[in-house]
Amino acid sequence: MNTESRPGSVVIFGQVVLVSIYLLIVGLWLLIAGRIKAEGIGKIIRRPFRPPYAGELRDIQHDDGNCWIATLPCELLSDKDGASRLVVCEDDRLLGPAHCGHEDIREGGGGRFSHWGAQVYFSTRDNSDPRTNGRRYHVRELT
Amino acid sequence: MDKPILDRVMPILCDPITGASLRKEEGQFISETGRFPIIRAVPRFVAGDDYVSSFSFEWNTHYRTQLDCFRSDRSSEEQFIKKTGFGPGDLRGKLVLDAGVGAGRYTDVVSRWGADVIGVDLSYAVEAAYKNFVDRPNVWIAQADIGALPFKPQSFDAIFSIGVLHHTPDTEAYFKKLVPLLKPGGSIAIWVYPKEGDYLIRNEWIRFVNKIPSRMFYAWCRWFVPWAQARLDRPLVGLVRRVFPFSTQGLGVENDILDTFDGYSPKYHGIHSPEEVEGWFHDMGLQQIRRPSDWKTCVRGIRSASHH
Repeated sequence: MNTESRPGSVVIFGQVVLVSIYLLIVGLWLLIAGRIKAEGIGKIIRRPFRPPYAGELRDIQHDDGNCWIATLPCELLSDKDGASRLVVCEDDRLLGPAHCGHEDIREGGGGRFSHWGAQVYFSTRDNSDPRTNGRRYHVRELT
Repeated sequence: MDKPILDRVMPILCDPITGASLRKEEGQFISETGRFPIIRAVPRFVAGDDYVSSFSFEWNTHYRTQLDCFRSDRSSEEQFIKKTGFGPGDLRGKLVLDAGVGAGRYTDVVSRWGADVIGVDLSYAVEAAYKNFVDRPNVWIAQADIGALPFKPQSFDAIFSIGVLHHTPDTEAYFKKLVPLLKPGGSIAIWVYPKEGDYLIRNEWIRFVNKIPSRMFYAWCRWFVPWAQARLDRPLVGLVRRVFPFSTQGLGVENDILDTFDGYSPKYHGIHSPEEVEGWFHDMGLQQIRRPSDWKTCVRGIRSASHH
């Protein structure tokens, strides 16, 4: 039914560029005017200028079910910002999958984790207690 | 040749302005007070697509993208059941109105369940819908305005309007125009945008984005959505997603391009609380009002059997 001719690739490229510029301007205005909140923007701007974080998980607390919580520095980008780059390790093995829902971690365990705000919600591979199973839990931020 | 469903349509058709009965003559519907042409096999009860030209564009471009019969899955059927609470047994043999048919995503579901379905839309999406259901004897498509539909009161066993009424100039008023079309004991189910999350953010954008010509914004969506989806783990794209929410529904990139375009291009973008929507149902005297699922602004109700 579409018998009319399609625009050429140069025209489409031009349209994409124009719309991108327009949306960028509108987006900046909406942010500056406070019409849209984006709390993570400062962290994203600072991210290239600081070294990737790495450290041990300490003061681990039981959340519920198979889920455990540890505190992390608040300047890290997390899933709350839609942008966590954190990996969690059990001894030298990576845990995962990442970016899981918290209820999913509580029920499923098995290494699922989520980096949310200044906390990491995680589970161990065998759903044992990370405070007493003798293993080391540490995190690092991917570049 | 006329479809069998026309036998059920003719007795309920009327002039949308005067309410006078219509008859079919020489390629048009005629009343004592007006004439409504049938153009490219679709009856037209409006002169054009008024404020919904973006929908004319999107549904004629993506006329198959969301229809289960072309996707070979049940994604729309599952969503229909969640949003309306209707199941196949509820609508079989019933006369059902799809208010805002688009390309016919849900008409496809309900007509396969065995209902006789009338699908109306203000936009030229009706041409896509007509093409999709040309061989389906229990589907009848017309271009008409929900604010002035060409049907007599108490005509339908069920009415649904999913994701449509918030694109009218007044969501509440247009909902209230649908209720009198229900037969006593008939059910109506709607879903409108909730006043939360991504819908609130889009509400800030929309007055700026809907000024972009449809084809330009669509070209941008065709580039942006696949680009962003391939980089979802990057912090900058994560930020963009929070500031400018784009679709990642898991139903394929074509669906996400369509849904992103759909979310930002309409002229009207009403957002409502569940309590507000339930209030409209109470105002109209509907009974057994309930929310069929955890989609908070999906509400369903029944017209009282004694309502006259």
